[in-house]
Amino acid sequence: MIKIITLFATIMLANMAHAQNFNMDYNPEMLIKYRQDFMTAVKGHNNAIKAIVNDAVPYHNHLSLHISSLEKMFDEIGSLFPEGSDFGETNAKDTIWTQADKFQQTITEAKQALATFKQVVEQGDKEKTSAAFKQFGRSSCGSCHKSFKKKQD
Amino acid sequence: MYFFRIMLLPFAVLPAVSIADSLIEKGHYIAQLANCYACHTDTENNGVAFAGGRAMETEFGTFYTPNITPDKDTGIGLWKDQDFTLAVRSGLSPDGSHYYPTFPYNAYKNITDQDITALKAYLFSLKPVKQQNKSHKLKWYMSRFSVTMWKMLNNFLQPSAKINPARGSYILDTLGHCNECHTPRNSLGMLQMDKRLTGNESLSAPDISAAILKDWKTEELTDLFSDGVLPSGDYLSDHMAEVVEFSTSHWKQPDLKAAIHYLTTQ
Repeated sequence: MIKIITLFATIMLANMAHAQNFNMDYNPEMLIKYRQDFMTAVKGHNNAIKAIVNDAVPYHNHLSLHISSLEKMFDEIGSLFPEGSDFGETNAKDTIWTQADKFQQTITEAKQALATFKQVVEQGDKEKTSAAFKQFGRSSCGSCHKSFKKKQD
Repeated sequence: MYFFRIMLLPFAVLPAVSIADSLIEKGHYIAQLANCYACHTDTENNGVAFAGGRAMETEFGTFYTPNITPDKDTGIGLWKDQDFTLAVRSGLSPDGSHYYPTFPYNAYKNITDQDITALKAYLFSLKPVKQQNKSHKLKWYMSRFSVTMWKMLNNFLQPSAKINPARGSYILDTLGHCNECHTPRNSLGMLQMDKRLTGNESLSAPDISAAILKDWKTEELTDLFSDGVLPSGDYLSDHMAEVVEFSTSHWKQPDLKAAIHYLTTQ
C-alpha cells in the first residue's frame, strides 16, 4: 500500500513540476526572445498598415493580408505569457499574471478593435480607414502597453 | 403681472447656469491638461475617478494619492477657495502641514487664478466618493518636518524663475508638469533645471529636450501626443501611456501646436 501511495505521490509531483515549469523542455531565454520577436512582427504588420493607409506605399491590396495575419497573431498573444515567464530581459509587467482576467479582457478588446477596423477597411473609405486605424492602434497595442508593459530603460 | 414675471424667470436664471457650466467645462479641461486623473485614480485596481489611493513608488518610499472628490469626510468637500489655492500652488494643506513634493505644486505655482477657480469648480461638480486616504509607507527619514525643510531649501536654492509667457510653457512646465519626471534631480530630490527635460534615469523618463526633439517631425510629435505612438511604431507604455490617454490626447489643437513648438524650440 505504501508503495502505491509513494508511486502516486511521485507521479503527482512530477506532473505539478512540469506544469509549473513550462521551461523544462525549452530554453527559457529563447521563450522570452520568441515573445519579443512575435511582438516585433505584430509591430511590423501595424507599421505596414500605417504606410498603406497613409498612401506612403502602393500596396493597398496587402491590407487584408496584414489584417488576417494580425487576427491570427492576436489569437495567440495570451499563450505567449504562461505562468512563470516573468524572468530575464522582459518588459512584461507583473499585472499580466496578477490581473490575468484584465489581461484577457484587454486581448479580447484588441480583437474587437481589429474586427471594427477590418469592417471599416472593407467599406473602402480612405478617410474613415485612416481614422479607424488610429483608433485601432490606441485600443489594441496602446491599451495593452499602458497596463501590461514596463517603461523601457 | 405675476404671470409675466414667471415667464421671465428662466431668462434670468439661464445665464448663471450657463456660466457655471462653462466654468466646470473649463475646469475639466484644466484637469486634463494637468493630468489630475492619472495620479488621483487607482487605475491599476479599477479605483473610482479622483478618489485617490494610487500607489506611487519612489526612492523615498511609497506615496498614496489622496481623495480629491468633494466628499466632506474623506475628500476636499470642506475646502474653501483659499484652501484649494494654497494646496495647489504652495503645497499647504488646510491644517497648515506641508504636502510631499510628489504632488507637483512646484510646477502648479504658476497656474492662473482663473484656472484654479475653474479647476475647483470642476472637482466640486463631481460626485463625492467616501474613501479614506491611505497612509504613505516612507523611509524613516521622511516626515512632514523634513518636507518643510526641503521646501525652504528648495525655494532658497531655486528661486522662482521668470514666468515664460508662452502658452507652450504654461501647458508643459506648469499644468503638464513635465519637468517633474523628465528633468533630473539631485541627491536631495531637487530638480536640476540647468539640465531641463534631459531625462531622469531613475524614473526611466527619457531626454525630451529640444536638442533631441528638434529632429522629430511635427506629425511624429502629434502622433505621440494624440495616439501614444512613437516614430518606430512602438506604443508608449506604463505611466506615459496614461499621460497620453488621460491628458495629451484631449489637448485642443492650438494647445497641441503650442506645446510642440515650445518643446522643439526651447
